[in-house]
Amino acid sequence: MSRFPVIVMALFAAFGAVAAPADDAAGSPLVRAGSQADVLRGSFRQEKYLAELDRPLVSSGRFLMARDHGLIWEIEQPFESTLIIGRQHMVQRVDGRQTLRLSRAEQPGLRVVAAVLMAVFQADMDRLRDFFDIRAVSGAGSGEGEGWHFVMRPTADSVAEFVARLTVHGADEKVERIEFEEPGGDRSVIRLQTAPDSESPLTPRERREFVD
Amino acid sequence: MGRAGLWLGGVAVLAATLAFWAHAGTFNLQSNLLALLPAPQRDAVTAAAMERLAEAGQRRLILVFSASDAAHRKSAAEAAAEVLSGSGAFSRVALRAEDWMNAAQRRNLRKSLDRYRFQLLAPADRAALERAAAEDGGGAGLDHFTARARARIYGMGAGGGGRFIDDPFGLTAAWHASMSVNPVAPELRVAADGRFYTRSADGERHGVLFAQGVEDPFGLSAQEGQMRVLERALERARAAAPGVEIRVAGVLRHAAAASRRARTEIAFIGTGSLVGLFLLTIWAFRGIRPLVLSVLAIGGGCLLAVVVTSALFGNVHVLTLVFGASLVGVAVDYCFHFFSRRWLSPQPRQALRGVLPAISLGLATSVLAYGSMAAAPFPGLRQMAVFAVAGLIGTWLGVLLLLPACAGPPPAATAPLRIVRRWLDRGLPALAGGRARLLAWAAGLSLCLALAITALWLDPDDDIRLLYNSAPALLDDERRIAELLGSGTAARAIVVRGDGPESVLRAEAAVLDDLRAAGIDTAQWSAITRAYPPPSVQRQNYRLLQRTLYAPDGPLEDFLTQLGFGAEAVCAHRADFAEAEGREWAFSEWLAGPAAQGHGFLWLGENAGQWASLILLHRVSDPGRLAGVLESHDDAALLDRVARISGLLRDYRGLATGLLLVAYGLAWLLLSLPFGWRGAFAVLLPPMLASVLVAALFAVTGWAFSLFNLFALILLLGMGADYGIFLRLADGAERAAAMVAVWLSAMTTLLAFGLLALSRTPALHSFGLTLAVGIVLTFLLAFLANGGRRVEGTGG
Repeated sequence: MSRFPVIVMALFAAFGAVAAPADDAAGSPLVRAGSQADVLRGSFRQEKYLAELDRPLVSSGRFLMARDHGLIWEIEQPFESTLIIGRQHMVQRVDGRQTLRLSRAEQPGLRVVAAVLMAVFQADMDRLRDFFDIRAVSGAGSGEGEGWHFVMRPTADSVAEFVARLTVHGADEKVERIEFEEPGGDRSVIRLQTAPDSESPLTPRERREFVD
Repeated sequence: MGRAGLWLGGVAVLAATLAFWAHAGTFNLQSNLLALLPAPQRDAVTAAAMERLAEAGQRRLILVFSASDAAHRKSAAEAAAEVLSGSGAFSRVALRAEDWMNAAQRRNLRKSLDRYRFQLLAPADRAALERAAAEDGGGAGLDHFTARARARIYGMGAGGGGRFIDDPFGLTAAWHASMSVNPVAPELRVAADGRFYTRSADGERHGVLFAQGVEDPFGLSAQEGQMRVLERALERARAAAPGVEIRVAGVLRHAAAASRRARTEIAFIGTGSLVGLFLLTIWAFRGIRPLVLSVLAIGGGCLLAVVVTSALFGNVHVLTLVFGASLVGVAVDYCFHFFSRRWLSPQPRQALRGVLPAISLGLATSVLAYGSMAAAPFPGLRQMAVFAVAGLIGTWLGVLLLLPACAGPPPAATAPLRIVRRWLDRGLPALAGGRARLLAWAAGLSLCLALAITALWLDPDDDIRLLYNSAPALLDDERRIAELLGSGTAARAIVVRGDGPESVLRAEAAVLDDLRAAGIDTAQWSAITRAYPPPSVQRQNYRLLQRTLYAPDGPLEDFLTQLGFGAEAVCAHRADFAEAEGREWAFSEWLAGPAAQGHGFLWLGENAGQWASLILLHRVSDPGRLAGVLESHDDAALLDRVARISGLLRDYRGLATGLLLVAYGLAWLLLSLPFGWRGAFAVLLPPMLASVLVAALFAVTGWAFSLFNLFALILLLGMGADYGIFLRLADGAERAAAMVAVWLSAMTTLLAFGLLALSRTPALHSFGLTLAVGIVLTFLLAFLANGGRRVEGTGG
């Protein structure tokens, strides 16, 4: 269960980098960027490559991250599923039915994740370095656009169990693509697009989701 | 010099033996107060359970670091951990979850469990599958699993460590997640970087560090070593981050404080007794020689006592030494009798012959009294009794062998003799003379009155705290840490029994099911079957999968094909499942492997043909409900270590009461040989009456009266009878001399036990207080009961 949030964490690390194509491995641009937005909304498209499958599993949907609340990852295609990572619990709903619910009290692992999540929100780069060895590559145009990317390799045991390598690609001030490689060889590529209303405050409905 | 030579030779042999033992490391000083208590007699399983609980708690050390600044907490904890783990005195020093089991170990464990993955189900999944199976083999109930699996594979980071196809429904992942619930303490949390922490009610975080002593903290040398390391660790931590508040919980500090205290008390009581002895001897006998000889005789006795005790028990308890230090005051009696006798018989051999019957009879009654103390199957008291008997016999031998040979010129008649003569003429003895009837009535009346008071008001106390009263600061740390970690300070557990491992585990699982059903918070207990599903459950799990997710017409094939898996992969997975049928993760394999870490100690194994395990209760919020659950399980019983020990103290208090009566009976038989029935009764009346009066005193004042008071009363019999014996055996001119000796001995005894009453160990305090008060009463009563005879013979 605790494997979900690892990529979430990576995701936020990437968001942190939105406004700051890194010049080196230093965290200061991240700090600046991360502290800017309280709320970010957008859409995503994920391709998952499994060794046993010829074609990738594709999903798409919307996401919402709120600095003081957590994250909502809402898959719309090929079916509806919502993952909410709040401060106190983690909930998964499929077709409106709850399929998973973990509270922080019964799942120490979730506490770990939530703590990291918040650290990322607060752009606590020192904290991230507890888990990752972060190498930034500027202008390495392997991807699309005016390329920069980060390569993060886990240093913490607890993270290394789930992630072998994490690569965040971006152009200018935007994260465009996150590549997530697992120790088992499976690989995911997530493309992100921020929405026009991306930074408007949480609606009451959204707020409820986190508390629920 | 032949006799003295014999004595000297004996002492030399004893000293050499002791020196050899000390050199070979076989001479152990023990400081565990609970080692003084008898093992629970009831049955082997309970005994093993008690021992296991004690062991588990005893070596653990918990450090809690409090500071508002996380960096400070971190650096202090790291500094302490470095010292602790580098010392070799502690093992399993853990700041982070990884320190107990790192990722590689966890990976290996998961890999080794792969074989059994179809036998393992998380409790919630199992319940959901059971529900689904009940609704005719699947259908809607199973949608939950396919939906979850779909969400997983399409969701963020599906797959995790293994291949999706190996665990399509996420059952194994769910099982591992359910296992990661920590067994150490309900409120212990793991931070993002793996560090242990806990949160107080005010939201403040506290860093937590665990360590395990390599050796028993009650062994004195291990204890000293561990304390040194701990102190250095604290010092280093404070240096690293001065603002951090550090609390420590663990038996180690209590043990160290107790032995430090015992050492101070040995020195204090020993020195006090010796100084009293010095002053009294010099005052009474006007010379240094009687003093030196007495000290030598007693020293020889103590040496014999230490050697005999160590040989019989393999160790000497520090409390035995505290008690032994007070024995000096008793042993000196024999010397006093010898020296005071020399006022009448200047010839040393003649003097010895004169007092030998009295001191031998005195020794016999003392040995009888101490011996009855040893009759109780109470290791600590047995040791003290052996120590006392050996010490007294050793001193008696010293008086026999050493004193006559080196006695020197006879002492001059001194002030004490004059005082005693006056006391005999005009004091209590004179008062008692000729008023036998009146005295008998008074004695009878006060006996009845005191008995009535005792019976009505005496409220015995059998609390374990009689043995333990740690410093408030230490207890405060302990309580605060228990509160922060959500665990209780008292070790309680449920013992589950069966006639084999399988039946124990089955019974345990049943108890846990009922506890859950009764709504008792799962964070409140640790149990083996939470970490290891018994074979019966494994079989059920497999069958459950066979009937639901993996049923021939079940959702497996459709689901995987929909996702895009080829027929080959699907078939391979199905084959994996079929192959796993009948596999069993054996209990022995679990117990020996890394998965048992943290839970393995709950397995008691076989004891006297019975198998058992423990369910550890961190805290009990609703004892009534717990008792209700246990009522329906014959094979499970609550074990409350504190209550059990208090129960023991209560049982043995009853036993000691019986022993006291038996000892009086035996002493009466023994003393009736020289004195006749009436005379023997008169000898025994003073200690008897004094005992009842002391009991009444405790009843009226409400002071704690326990087993230890009763043992003091048994000793009072031994010493009190001595007074009567000496007074009865001394006639005419001897009488004043005998009385000086009795008088001096009462003074030294009073001094020794009066000092023992100052001990801060409640048991020793009660013991000393009872004896001190009892001795004064016995002393006065002895003159009334035995002093009335032949007052005329006081001219010397």
